[in-house]
Amino acid sequence: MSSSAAVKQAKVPGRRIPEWATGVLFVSPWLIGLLLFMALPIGLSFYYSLSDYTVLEPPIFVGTANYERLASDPVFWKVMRNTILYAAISIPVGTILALIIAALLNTNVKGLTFFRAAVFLPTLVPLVAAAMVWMWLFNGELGLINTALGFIGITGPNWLGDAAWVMPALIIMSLWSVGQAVVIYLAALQDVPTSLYEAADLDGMGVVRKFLNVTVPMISPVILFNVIMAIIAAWQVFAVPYIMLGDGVERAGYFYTMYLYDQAFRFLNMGAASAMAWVQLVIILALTGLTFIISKRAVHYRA
Amino acid sequence: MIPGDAPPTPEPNRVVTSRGGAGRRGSVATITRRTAVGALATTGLGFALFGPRQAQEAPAGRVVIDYWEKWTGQEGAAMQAVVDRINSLQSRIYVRYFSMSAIDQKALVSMAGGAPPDLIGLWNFSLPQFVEAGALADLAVLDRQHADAVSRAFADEYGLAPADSVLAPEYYAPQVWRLNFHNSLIAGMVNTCSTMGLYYNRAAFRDVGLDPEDPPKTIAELDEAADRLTTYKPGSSTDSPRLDRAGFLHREPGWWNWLWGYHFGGKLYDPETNTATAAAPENVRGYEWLQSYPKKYGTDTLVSFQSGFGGYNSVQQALLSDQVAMTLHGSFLANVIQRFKPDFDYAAAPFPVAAEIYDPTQPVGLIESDTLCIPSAARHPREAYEFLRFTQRRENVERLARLHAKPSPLRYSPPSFAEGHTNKYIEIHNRIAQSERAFPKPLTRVWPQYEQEFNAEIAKFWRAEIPAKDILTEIERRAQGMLDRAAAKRARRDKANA
Repeated sequence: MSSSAAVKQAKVPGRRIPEWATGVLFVSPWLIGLLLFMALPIGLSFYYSLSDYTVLEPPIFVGTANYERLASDPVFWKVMRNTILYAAISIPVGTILALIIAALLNTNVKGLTFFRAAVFLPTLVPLVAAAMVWMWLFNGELGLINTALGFIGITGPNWLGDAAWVMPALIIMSLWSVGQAVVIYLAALQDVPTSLYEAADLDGMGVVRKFLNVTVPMISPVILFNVIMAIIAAWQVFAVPYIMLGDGVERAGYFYTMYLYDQAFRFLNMGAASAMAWVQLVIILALTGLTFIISKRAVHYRA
Repeated sequence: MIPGDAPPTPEPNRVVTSRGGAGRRGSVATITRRTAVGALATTGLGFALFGPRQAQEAPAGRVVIDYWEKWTGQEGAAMQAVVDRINSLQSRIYVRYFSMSAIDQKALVSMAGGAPPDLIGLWNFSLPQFVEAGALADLAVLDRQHADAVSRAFADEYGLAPADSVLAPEYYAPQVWRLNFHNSLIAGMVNTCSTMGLYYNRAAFRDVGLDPEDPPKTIAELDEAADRLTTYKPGSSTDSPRLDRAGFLHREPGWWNWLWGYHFGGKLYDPETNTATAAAPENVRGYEWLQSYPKKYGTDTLVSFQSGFGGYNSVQQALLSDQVAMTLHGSFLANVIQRFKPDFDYAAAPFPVAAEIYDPTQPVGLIESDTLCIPSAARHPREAYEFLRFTQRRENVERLARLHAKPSPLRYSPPSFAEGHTNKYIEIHNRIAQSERAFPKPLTRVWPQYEQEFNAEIAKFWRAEIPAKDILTEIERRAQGMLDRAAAKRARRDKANA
């Protein structure tokens, strides 16, 4: 008998617990958590999306009424438009900026550690604090941004008071937290084999061509990951516009998740809120799927 | 390790762990199961002995009632004093006071989960949503069941006179009494009430030759005073005017974007017919008046100027920092003034109204109340009711009102109430609270959505590019849709429950 078998026998004096049961027992905290706190609420939320549910009273089944109501709700389409616009601009701009910063931080310059820390540091600032600071930066009368614009002879807009300028302000602010993506890109950049750059040098490639033809393809899986994360984040944007604007300024900064929250907890329309959550899930899944399909040709996985 | 070597076999009853750390990588240490269990037990014991515990331990043998309230800081301390008083006067019940933000949402979640506190402090305008869902106890029912026993307890246990604590209409200011009703149910009782009036800078009035003892009473007088009080920064040009001080701004502090029609005799909702009346002619006049300011001073000028205002609870707020000379505000502003600029020379008056509805005996003003409610699923409704009745005693109501710098919600308040009150113009607010023309936020379940329409569209009003009537007509259309849908849902639910 091997020594490990002897150990096993010594440890189990009575009836032996089947191996599969031991396994289930070990994963049961996670399994119970998954069933209770994920699967059940997801299932219930789908049922609520088909119900008139105020949270305080039992749900009454109403079929697809909540979805039909959303389709004819102008505020729903307004928040949808706002969110799509925000995502459509902030994701590409954020991705390109993060890539450029990561590429710059991947070079060998003096004070590199400081610059890397400086880029990442803003992501550690709590969103509420960041929102308060940006409110003052965007201040139409006393804000630093308008003061700086004033130095070059430009009269700055009322960023957060003018419906036309609210979205640009929020997109600019979204770039504040680009540091997280930069760190991931930086790790990916350091993993690109130097032999490829040497080969590119031999072929006479310039900096830009090397970046586009060597760097970008080599880190394309990471770009794909970051873009998908950004899509999900953009569709869930909530805290910053909620603090800075709420539902004011002609709803110019009113986003999908804000309206969903209001439906659930201010207007007590949990049925409509659940329907919105399911529409949001379908949109995010569709966009993620679409990104995967589009990226099939562009993303290169190393063997 | 040489390939083929067997790994070291762990001893029975021992757990193998790898130790991290530079210089020790690869070394292996073992801890016995006894040690592991001992460590866990020690952690558990430490948690039990020194870990987080309930903020307030209740004395043994008492019925503990949990009370959630929205107030913090100075206002929270004032309510805590009332709680401390009941806890010290008798030895049967013990009230635990919990102060929290976003109380509406927390109330909602706790009630939905079937574990609400025994008492909860809501706002009067939140009541319809909770009442229609049957989430709040009818105080009239509790009063019938327990009034006599509670009165006896006040006399025998508390050593207090039983009078002056009856939940009766003649005890409260008329509008205050009505605030707590919904669907013929007494959903709560007032903890404090607020009324809104005109606050103005007396020194600024004197500077421009206005009489600070004679504040504007009509909208026309307000406009005239605002014109005189508005000043521009040195070097400001007609092309790009820069305000130094605004006489009056509708959007400061910007909390009540929906009420301007009321000062022209309008209202937003007719409860009898369940109709939205946002586009009524009086409301149109109110918002045309609002639009006259950006038309006169320039939208960009006003928006830019206003963006430089500090927060309400600071010395940089517009009135205190002389950026605005007149503003619509509540009596509680006096506490902010007392705290940040006690020497500020201010006065208060009822907010002006259109000349044709001016009546000095019946001032017009917004009235709101902080309302103490007992959830339907409260564990100790009888004791909660007893505490609620205790809070309604004159000495408690008035003490709380004084500390909050608010008017008395009672029908009669003795002269001593105003003496030493933080707000030296509290009589103005008392008069508004007693007025038949004091108006609350429309008491309908869809009010949060209806109000959101005004908050969203206020910038559109302020741009003054679209006539007020058109914007109000659109708001009314949407609000009517909300009301109709809510009524249909209610009917469906009632049918299902029948």
